[in-house]
Amino acid sequence: MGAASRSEEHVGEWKLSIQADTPEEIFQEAARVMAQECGPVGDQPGQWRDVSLEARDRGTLLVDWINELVGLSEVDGVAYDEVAVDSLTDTSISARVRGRPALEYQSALKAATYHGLTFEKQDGYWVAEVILDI
Amino acid sequence: MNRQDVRLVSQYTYELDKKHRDDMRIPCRVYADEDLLEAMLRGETITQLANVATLPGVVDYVYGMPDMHEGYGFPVGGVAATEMPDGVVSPGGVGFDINCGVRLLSTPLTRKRVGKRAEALVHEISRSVPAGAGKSGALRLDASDLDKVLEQGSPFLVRSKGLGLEEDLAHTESGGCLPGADASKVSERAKDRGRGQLGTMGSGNHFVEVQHIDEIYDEEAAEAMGLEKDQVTVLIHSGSRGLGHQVCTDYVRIMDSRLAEKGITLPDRQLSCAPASSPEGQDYLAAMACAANYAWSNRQLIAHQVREAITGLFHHVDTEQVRVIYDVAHNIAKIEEYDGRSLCVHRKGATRAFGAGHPELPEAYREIGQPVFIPGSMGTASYVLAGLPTSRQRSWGSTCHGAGRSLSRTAAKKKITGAELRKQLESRGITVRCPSNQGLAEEAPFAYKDVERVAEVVEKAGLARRVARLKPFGVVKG
Repeated sequence: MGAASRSEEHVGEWKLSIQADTPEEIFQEAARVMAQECGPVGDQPGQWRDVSLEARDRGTLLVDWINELVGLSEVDGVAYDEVAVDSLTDTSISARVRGRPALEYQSALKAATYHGLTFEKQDGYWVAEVILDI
Repeated sequence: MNRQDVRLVSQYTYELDKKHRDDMRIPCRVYADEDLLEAMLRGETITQLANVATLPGVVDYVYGMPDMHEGYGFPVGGVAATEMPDGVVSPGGVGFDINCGVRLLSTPLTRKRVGKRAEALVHEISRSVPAGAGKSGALRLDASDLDKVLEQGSPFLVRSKGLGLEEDLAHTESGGCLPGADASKVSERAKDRGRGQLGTMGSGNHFVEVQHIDEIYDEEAAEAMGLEKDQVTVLIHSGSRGLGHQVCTDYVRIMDSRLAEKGITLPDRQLSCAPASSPEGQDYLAAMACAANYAWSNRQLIAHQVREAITGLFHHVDTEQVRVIYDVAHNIAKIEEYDGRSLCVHRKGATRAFGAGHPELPEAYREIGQPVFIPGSMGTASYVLAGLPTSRQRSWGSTCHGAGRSLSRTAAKKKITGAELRKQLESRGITVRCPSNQGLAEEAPFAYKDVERVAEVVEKAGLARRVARLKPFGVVKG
């Protein structure tokens, strides 16, 4: 199946729902969605960057992952849509990310929140829901 | 949550009893009329207010302002005070955009005098103030100067960089600098995000709006503020940009990870908190103060850029004639004294509204009360009000910050396109500059509550009184 995501209505903010076959694909899809928000990008991918995080559970790890990418993207002006996961557990992720320079950085995302956070297996798929502040 | 769960206790004041839920420590009070309340009851807004009433150390009442709407953790338009030293401080009770706020400038121009140069004025402002997410400003700060901005606030920009007037500081809440700021408590990531963004508007509902005063309600207060009918004003709405967002992200994460060891359980993790006296609480207050100071500096620089745009176009106008009426924060936590108690007052999407006589007011406003601003959405009026003494007892000296959202961004975009909205506004004589049509549609006027109704309830609830109404003729949006 791969991963699929959708945005949902949430007064004032943005609710992101992701469904995938594996937890790794959830993290990859989250990166792809964050990268999309950066707007049009150039052709040449940049250098790979290391991202390593630890958190108390999978959902918290996802929030921290999204926030790391939001911050990195804004500082670097890069849409990090390529993710190579070296290791992923329930409480840690070690990955490399790469992306293309945003032609004019557009992401209005401030951060992912813990409000209404879920990350669980449902009917054979992994499903995560995160609310982001815009 | 149903209508029966809240009872009318006095005119425009509703109460949710603390018995509504076992974990509520205190009751909640909401300032609204029946229609505004009905809208709040449709979602999770009042439930979120009840969640705030569970915070350790929270006292008396948690208050909901007339523009309150659903957020995450705290509702937007919520006010809560916790008792020091051990009551908690909650970064979610301040918000990601620390010291998002509003600054009103007056000019010696009238709408009539601006005449057909209105579009040129808006255009010049849009050229002078970078707008949009991630935008960089003209002022690049080295590490030392950034730390000075964080610890000294807008006085550093005025006194060391010549970016504004000394009088600006007297008319800025807290003089543009919150004490206790410690730049070492701000992460390098936050500094990296903020370093190039000073003097930029940001995106979303941030704006610089050009208006004229079309109605005066309180002649005495208007005179004290230097406001007259037909006068051109400029309203600036912006905050602490990526630096503030990162400070909140960092400290919500830290506090969330330590809730269990502190024995704190919460109905919503986004309320994550720590006792203000704890190392985490003290660090957050010091970092929050830095972000607040950054935001005041940001609005100071934007105001400087607006001044240059105005004096560049209207050569007979001197810099000193473009005056700061006031600058208020609407996402902040402040240590304040109430009847011998030291309280940490969290205002999320709410502003101070101190009444006449308060010692923190600038001299010019000590007899009339603190200026308060309720910005409307694009195309609608904004209001200038003055805080009332009764706000102290009714809402920890607070009032609302705007009209509050009633529709999600997605719903707004479904009802109108940015191009259609731009055309509608321009047909009403409002010049619009916005880099993104999508961003414009998300901020359509119908996505917000009725500002006229909100302002009326604020006045009738005894929080602030109307002084003047501002009608827009130009808006620069992020």
